[in-house]
Amino acid sequence: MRLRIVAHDGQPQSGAFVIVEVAPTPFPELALVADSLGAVTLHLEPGYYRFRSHGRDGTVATTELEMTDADREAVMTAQSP
Amino acid sequence: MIAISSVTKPDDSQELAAGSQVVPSLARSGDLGSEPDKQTKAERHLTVTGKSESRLVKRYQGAGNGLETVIGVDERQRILETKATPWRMVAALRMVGPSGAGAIGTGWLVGPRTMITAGHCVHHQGFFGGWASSIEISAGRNGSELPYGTITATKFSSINRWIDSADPDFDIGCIHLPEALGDRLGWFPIASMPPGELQNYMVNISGYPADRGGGEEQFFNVNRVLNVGERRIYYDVDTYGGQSGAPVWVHEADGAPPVVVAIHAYGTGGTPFSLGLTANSAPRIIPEVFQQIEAWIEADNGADS
Repeated sequence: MRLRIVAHDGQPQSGAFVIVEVAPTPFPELALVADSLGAVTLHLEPGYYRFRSHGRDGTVATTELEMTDADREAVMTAQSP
Repeated sequence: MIAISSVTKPDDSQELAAGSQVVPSLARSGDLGSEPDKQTKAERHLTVTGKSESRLVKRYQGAGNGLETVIGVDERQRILETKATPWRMVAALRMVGPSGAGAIGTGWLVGPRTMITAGHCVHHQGFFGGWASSIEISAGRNGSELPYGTITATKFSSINRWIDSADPDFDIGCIHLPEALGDRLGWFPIASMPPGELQNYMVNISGYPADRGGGEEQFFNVNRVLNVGERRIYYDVDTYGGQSGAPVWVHEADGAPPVVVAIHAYGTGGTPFSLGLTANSAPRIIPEVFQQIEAWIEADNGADS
């Protein structure tokens, strides 16, 4: 799946950190770094997930989703903490 | 005994030693390195020694949802004197996978040319698609200050049980350093402590989290071991993504050196529901892992000579 992190104005949050907070199986405390398009790509098992992002500007975003489709794309919109 | 073996990233020119080839000692001493050192206020006042019958009182704010790896109020403290031991032996890691995918983690020196981290920092099927391509290592990083520069490693190993089945109990990785960084900065002692001995120890963890300092600042926290499993220990020490691979150490007595007994890897979501704990966790340095780490160190030292 592809997760895109954008600022409130829609601009991609390059360099934001993405944490998998909840996963159906133990997911390690790895912090993923969003690429120049503000995206991270993960190959995940089906199940319920919760993600949190931390932008370089201090903004935070969270999203929860039920993974059923490996090609799914989700967008997280960052907010001030 | 559990049968484990080393798996090394392909394209290495050297075969690494197997775990069975080493002396089965269960404690290995550390080294302070050649760089000037002093005892820091942080080491004097923050690190905790020995065992405790009760955990440190934690402050809780709001209901929470029991899923964060910062448990209750965030009690991590920033380490500013990162040029002193043991803090300089801890490194900020920036991993890059074959597709260019990036991630951050933490590593720590265990030998002149050997750094230990979490297995998922060197190999993660779901994110890197396998092995990381390279890892940038900044020991003792303190914000934008890089007191020992940044070196890039491309040679890694892990344990077959992590590579083959992503077993969290063996989420342990090794970075074979291209230079003898440990000779300058020193390295941590390690020990394989039996579960009964580990129980109630106060454990210290220091690493580079993403949520505070953006993976560029070292943060520390301490608390009591809550549970010791056959292969993992559980504690309510505050951590966050990016601290994966950090050393989990104890001080056996006042003035005793820090001895690493586990490698931090999982937040509260990695703790089995059956334990009934809100705890973060780390694979223990069990005897088989201890022997494997010694084998990696010996192989790296051989590469140095």
